[in-house]
Amino acid sequence: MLYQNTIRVLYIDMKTQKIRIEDREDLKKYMGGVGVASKLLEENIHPELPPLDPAQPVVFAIGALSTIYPVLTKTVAMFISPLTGELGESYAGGRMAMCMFLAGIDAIVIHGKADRPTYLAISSNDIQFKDARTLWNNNKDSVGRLIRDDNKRAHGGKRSIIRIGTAGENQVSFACVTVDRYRHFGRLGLGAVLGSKYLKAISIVGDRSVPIQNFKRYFKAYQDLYKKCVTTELMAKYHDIGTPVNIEPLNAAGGLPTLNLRQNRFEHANKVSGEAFSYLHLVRKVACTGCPVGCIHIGQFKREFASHGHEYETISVAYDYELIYALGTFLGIKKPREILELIEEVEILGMDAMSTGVVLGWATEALENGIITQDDTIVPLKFGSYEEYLEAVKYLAAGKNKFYKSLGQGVKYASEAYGGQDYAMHIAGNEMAGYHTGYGSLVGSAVAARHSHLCNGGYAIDQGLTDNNVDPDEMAQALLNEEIERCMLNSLVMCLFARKVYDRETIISAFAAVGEDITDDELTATARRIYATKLRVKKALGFKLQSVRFPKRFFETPSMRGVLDENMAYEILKKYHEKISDLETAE
Amino acid sequence: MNVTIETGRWALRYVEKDIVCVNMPESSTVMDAVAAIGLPSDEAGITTIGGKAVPKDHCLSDGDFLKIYPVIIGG
Amino acid sequence: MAKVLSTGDMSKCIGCFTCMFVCAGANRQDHSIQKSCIKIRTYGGISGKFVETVCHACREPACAEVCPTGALTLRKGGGVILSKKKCMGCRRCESSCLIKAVDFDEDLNLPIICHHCGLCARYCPHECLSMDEVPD
Repeated sequence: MLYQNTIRVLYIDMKTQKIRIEDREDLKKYMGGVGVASKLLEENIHPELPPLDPAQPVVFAIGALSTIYPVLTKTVAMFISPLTGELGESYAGGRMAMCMFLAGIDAIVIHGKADRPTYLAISSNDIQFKDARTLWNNNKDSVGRLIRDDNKRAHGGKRSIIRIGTAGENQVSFACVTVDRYRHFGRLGLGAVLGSKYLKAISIVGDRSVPIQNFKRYFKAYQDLYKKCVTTELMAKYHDIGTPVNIEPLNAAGGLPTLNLRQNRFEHANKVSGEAFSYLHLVRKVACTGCPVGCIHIGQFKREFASHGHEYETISVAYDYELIYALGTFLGIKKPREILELIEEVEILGMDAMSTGVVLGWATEALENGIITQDDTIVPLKFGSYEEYLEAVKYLAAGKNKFYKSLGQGVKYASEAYGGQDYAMHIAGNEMAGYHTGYGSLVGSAVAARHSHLCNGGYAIDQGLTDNNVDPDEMAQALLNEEIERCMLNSLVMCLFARKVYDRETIISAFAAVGEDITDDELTATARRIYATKLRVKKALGFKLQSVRFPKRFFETPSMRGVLDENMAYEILKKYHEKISDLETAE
Repeated sequence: MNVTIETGRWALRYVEKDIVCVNMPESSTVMDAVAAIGLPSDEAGITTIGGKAVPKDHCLSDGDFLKIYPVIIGG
Repeated sequence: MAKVLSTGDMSKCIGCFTCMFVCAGANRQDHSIQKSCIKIRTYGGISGKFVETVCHACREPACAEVCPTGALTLRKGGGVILSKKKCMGCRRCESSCLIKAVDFDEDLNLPIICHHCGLCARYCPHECLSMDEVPD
């Protein structure tokens, strides 16, 4: 905790409704965020039990300097992923980090299953287990409102509400958790884990005051960081068009996954570009608390009620590059309006957009190939045709039949059950992100602790290469270096968009300004300590890097760096494996 | 020689117009063209001529239509 | 000429709360936005509008009129200046303000009074807030 030499951990047992608070000095060496969360996960997991067993923990943690400096806006969640069966780690922005900070909580560990649907109301001096039976099976928009109204008198500070949708209730393996309407713990199925605990939502009120200890020093550091944030390119890039700016360069370079990665370019890319979305639908931009950039792009569309003519509703939905890729190009949808409608439906049901798009891409092709039939898919899924996808996402969230139940466990699982594994576009069990940029993105996601492109930013390594020749050892080392450094950055739980603002020197002065002397060597040691903890968790959960097999299509459809060679991919994987073999002992 | 250079609206914080015709010395490269329109070199992502990707040291010819895309961004 | 805070362009607000962090930090030496004079709220959840609550710099401030100890005196250009020594924490100013721009600091037993220092405007990254010149 800020200005303390301890980390405050709140333990919550959903079954017994007992609370325990521990101030732990020993966790301080993990700094905060993903460091503290990894350690707490390691301490609390039960590797012998399935991911959704009530005994398994969910950990939330904020960073060592959360909220007090710009763009340190995120909260990390760690859990055992029901999608991959191993290390689950996911980040969300919004207000949650500030509310935890002002509630005086560094980390929350939740285990056990409630007797009935429950929501947690957390503030600095109370934790209540509230009856959520009437919220179960309810759409998320009204869940937020109902919780706000239920607690109107109870708070004097700022509130954050996180909740699951019906997909989480039904334990779809890639169900997400929505944070404050527009942000998500998207990947790897945290929503299913909360669903398995009968935990519909958590409301956190930050109502504590935290006096600044050395105002002059702190405010100087704050000002420097603020200036850096608003004057760098960060501001313009992420605020203006935002991440959807990626559509056109990825398309031109041949790295845009299209039609279940049958193609690396989309002939209608210009119709679904960032500029097209801005022009047709963008109505406002909002920010996570403490971020002057404001990258959350809100698109609006109107929808006619089915039953009457000339009657409309307007719908606002947040969009980003990854969503346009997964629910747009990957499925061949070429109208921004239709993509927004798909995003909205997936959002309401509470599923990860990337996984949803990828499983539907596979299902579409599997149907074409005749390994499944319309009896399975109910609707005739077809690339480019959004009405069927709009129906299919509902079936997916509801687990409508045997096929959709299977699909709801991820594309790896479904393709193992039905076939078509060569074109089931996952990497180590996690559905691919929107980058077919080269070995960096492909192997990077395989070696990544949570198989996310955000663990080591492999696409950026691909982008930085001068030609298509790759040295396997250099690539493995570059991925490892970035993976380890990001463990440290994520212990501050910053928005990674701003990672260049927070260089080592800046981080050291930010700590110093609140009275914590930390050296460059200590940051390095902390990064390694955190990575080692993650590797131990993965090992305990039975993950073996040597067993990773890439679906064939990655080596058939050219990437941004040309056609990838399967042997080279496995060679980089092998090199990486050698490099980490002695890392897990770092203390 | 004359080269037509197109960026896109994303580049308007550096350049006045998103499509310009520039007169450049013979044997100028793609990188020279990026500099000529005032775009910082690290803001230029993939570059194409007639829809085909070209490296930054590629020599331009008279009448080329050069398109400069933004760099890929993200976490 | 005196200056007062103007909140003319709130439609550009992204809800980053930087103004509140800076105000609470600089004026109350606290990391909590509850101590800020300016309040940004969402109207109808986060999908709603961002609205501000901050001192309107009244020329005839109701808060000063109801103050029984004279702790609030008129500020040049509008609004009031708080004399901490004279304040006894009766909270009449808080309830007198129609727009609820006066908050109360329970820890210090003092009202949170905006003195139009302009820091929030200086740190607003999207030019929603500004300092406007007004006659003294």
